Amino acid sequence: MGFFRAKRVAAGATDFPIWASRSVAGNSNANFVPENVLVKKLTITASPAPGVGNSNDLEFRNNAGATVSVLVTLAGAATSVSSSAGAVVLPIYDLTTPANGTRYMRQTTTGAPTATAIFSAIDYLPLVNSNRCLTGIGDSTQAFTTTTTNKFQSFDNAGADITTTEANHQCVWPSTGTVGPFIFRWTLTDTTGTTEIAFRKNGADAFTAISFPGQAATTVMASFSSATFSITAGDLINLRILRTGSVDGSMNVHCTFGFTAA
Amino acid sequence: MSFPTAEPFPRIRDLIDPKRWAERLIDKLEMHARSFALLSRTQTFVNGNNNNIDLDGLMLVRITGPTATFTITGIARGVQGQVMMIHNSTSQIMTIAHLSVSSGAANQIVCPDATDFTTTAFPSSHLLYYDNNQWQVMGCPCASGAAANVTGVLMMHAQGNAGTAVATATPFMPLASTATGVATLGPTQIRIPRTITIVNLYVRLRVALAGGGTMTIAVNNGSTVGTGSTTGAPAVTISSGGSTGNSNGNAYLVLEDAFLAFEASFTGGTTTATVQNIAFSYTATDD
Repeated sequence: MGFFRAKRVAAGATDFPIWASRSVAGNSNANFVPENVLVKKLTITASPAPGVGNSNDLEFRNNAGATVSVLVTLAGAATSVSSSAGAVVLPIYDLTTPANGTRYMRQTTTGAPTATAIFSAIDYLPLVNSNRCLTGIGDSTQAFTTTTTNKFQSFDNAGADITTTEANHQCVWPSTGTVGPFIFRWTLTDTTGTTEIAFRKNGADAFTAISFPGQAATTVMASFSSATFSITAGDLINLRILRTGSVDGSMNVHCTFGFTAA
Repeated sequence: MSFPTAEPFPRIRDLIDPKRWAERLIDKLEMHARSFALLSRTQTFVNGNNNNIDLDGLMLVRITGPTATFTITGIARGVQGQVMMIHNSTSQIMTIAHLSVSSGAANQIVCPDATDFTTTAFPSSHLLYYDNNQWQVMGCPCASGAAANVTGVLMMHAQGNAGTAVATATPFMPLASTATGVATLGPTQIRIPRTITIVNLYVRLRVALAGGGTMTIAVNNGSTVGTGSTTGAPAVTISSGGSTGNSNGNAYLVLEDAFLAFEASFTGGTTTATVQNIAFSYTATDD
């Protein structure tokens, strides 16, 4: 058994999140592996094909920036490829022992592949709770800046997509069950200002994840291993972020969370 | 092996003695062989690779030691027909490597599906036997106690705050975030890495549909890049003025290595739509 994730990888994207559904350059801090998972298969599809002498490689990287495993290469006239090697374990994102954890995927190219974007999908099995699907919200391409107004972030993707109009960020959820637990990561911590991050359901806070004034600058993630809320197929979800007081600059917010069907 | 069936061989005084001894032995076997103890021991393993492990003829091995992921690449001194149970008592991921050259050829292990066998639950126990000069792992790497089917979700969301614009001439979208629909199917297809059954498809538009007609978003299923069909696949139809809909749970099988995309179509006076997100739930069965 297991689940699958699909993603779009833009041309030029090098380091990008594993769980977000869109990947562009420069967001290797987003959507890390939230628990140990077993990746059993990875596919790449591109149309048109890379072309003679060109290729796209995808691999997983750990916190220290080292290769976890080179899984698959799409080259030449092929429009699709699937990994043929055995399964690989991706250890959970780990700030304490960076070399042990998995944080992001990396695309490398040879020559000049033709397609403007490639698409990849992974077949994975969560090793902590094999019935719990994993997914992510947010990336590093759009930052929250100084504000005293709620801003909203869409599910599974955030690029150029953070505004004060919540309706434009709500996404319909297709299955009834339980959402959670959650792991949040942010790229900058205010030393004096206050930041509040909430997970929203149907326009109301379902779970207020973080409220932190004056945290140490090195505090960049928080895990809520026992936090859950119920969800019904058709509910709308998104993130809310509110920053008040003196803030130090723009920040990106990412969340990876689980879902267990009823 | 500890086997409580000892019945001393009798002094043979007549031809009946061996027969009586055999009968007593059979009685004891019938009584005691229903439950017996394996020769067992706790064995310390190390993080990383454990090569050519010498388990000294043990039949039950309780593994301790590792504080990080570890791998068994081979077990020494296997004997034809030997059976061994290994029990991972640690909280670390254990992998049994398939035919790893890190161990000698006669010590290597054959795993189901010729794929490294990784524990999916802690603690866990696994049965191996020695045959044809190799160890064989029995069973599949399923998580103990897990359901035969699991339900997951796939979310596709508009890229950018304007939503994803689709139109009659640009109807195709991938199963991942995208800025606009495109005219041809190929550049939107994603190769699905496992067999799934789509349960329910949901569509949410950024703004209510206009034009007086309808829009349908369906799953496009193809076997090669550049070809596909929506026939029989889940679809959501939204009428002018509406903004959400779902496919009402008509199950639809998608085979491993199929190429999927979303495809919009229009009727009446409606020729464009702005998509907020598309999502579906699916069930995945055993590999």
